Amino acid sequence: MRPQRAVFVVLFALVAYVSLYTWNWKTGVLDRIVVVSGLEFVGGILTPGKWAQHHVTDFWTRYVDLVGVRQENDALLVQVDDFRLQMASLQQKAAQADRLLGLLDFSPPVHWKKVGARVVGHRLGPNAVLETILVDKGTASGVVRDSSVVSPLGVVGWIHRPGLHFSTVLLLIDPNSHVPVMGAQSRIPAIVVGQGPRKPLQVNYVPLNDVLPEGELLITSGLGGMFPKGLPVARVTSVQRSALSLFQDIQADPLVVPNTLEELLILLPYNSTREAVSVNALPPELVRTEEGGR
Amino acid sequence: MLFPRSWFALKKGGVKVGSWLWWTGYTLCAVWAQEWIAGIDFFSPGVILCLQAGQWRKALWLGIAWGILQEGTGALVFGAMLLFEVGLFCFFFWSKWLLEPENPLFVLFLSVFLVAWHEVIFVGLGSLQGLVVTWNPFPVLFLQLFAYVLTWAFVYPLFIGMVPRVAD
Repeated sequence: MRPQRAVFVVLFALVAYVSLYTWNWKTGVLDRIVVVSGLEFVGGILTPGKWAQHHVTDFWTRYVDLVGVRQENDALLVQVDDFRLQMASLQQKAAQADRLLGLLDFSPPVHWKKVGARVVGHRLGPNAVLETILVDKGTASGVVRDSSVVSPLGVVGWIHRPGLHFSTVLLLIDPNSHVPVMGAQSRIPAIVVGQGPRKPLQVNYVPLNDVLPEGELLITSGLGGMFPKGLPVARVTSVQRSALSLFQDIQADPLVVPNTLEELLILLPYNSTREAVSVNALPPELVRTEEGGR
Repeated sequence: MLFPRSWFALKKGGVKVGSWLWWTGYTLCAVWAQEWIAGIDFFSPGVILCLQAGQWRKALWLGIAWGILQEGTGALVFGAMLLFEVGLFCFFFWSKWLLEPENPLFVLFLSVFLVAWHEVIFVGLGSLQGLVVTWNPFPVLFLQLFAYVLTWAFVYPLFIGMVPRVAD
């Protein structure tokens, strides 16, 4: 290929790519297609696998693992082992029941309804550069972009990309998560920002004169409309004052550890005005910026 | 041998049944591997295998299909995986002038490029979209590098042993 022609081909490809990228950024057409196809496909693979994994593990721990023990030990030991197994199984079931009861007891604020969801995956693939999890609820269940995701312990994150039956949730610990909060006692408003996995949350915009003590619980302030007011978010762990800044340097630990989550709740406003706000043909990133940089 | 070589020549309605089974199995394994090790790519070694076997068209289709899948489960606006795959194809064709494609050193060389290319694309496009996307720490980069090389080293002998090396 002649050099001029090669340069022309490269330039043409570059222009075509930038045009496609910009068009998709403005319209979101390709995003919708790949989210539905990709999430449905991966969710479809992972969901039966998780089910099978659970049942195989259950079967193994209950029966297969103990064949040798039953043959080698006398009846009493077998009985004791059986009791232990049953107890372990019951403890697991009790813990699960507690978690599910917690979800059932969780009363969503007025004008918000809850949708239960299971975690089916975590950050999947090289394109998942943000801290996300995959849940088994999508637009078919009424889930929309920016829906808040909580557990009985506190705020987990919000829906980043809703698919038909599966959605990705952006976690509170991601640096792109900005949640308006306030002190449960002091009522001092602030913005909680994630700093990545295994790192505390940063509590921004607390003036030097305000007193936000260590150990204080931070709850959602309800500003911005994404989260209902009063949900627990984090607990303040360190407060430092700097002479160089107008604001205090405050850090807090999230109340929810994302890796241990199995079930969670998605909160949806009854009159889903957010849909009307967030669509309006604006690119999602611009919408987020306008709504307060979430 | 796990599967007889004749499987891959077995055609039903013009489609190689064994090939479909192989790539479906590879896709399922890669999805599960990506679920177990967060943020790591296990699909690119499959594309590299096709390119090494001279199956350009299959590499293209698999690249598109897996690209869509990865875009769907990802967090950025559509286009990052497309650019990543284009880089993979370009670098493969460019570097095979320097080294024999089936040489493990070639795969190591290609893997280093892919890891670096991934970082550049995703941090660049993330910032273009106003998102905070941080550079992966070195342990994660090395993990991805090992994942590429080890996956290739594990799958290549199976693949070459089973699939007739003809361009489709």
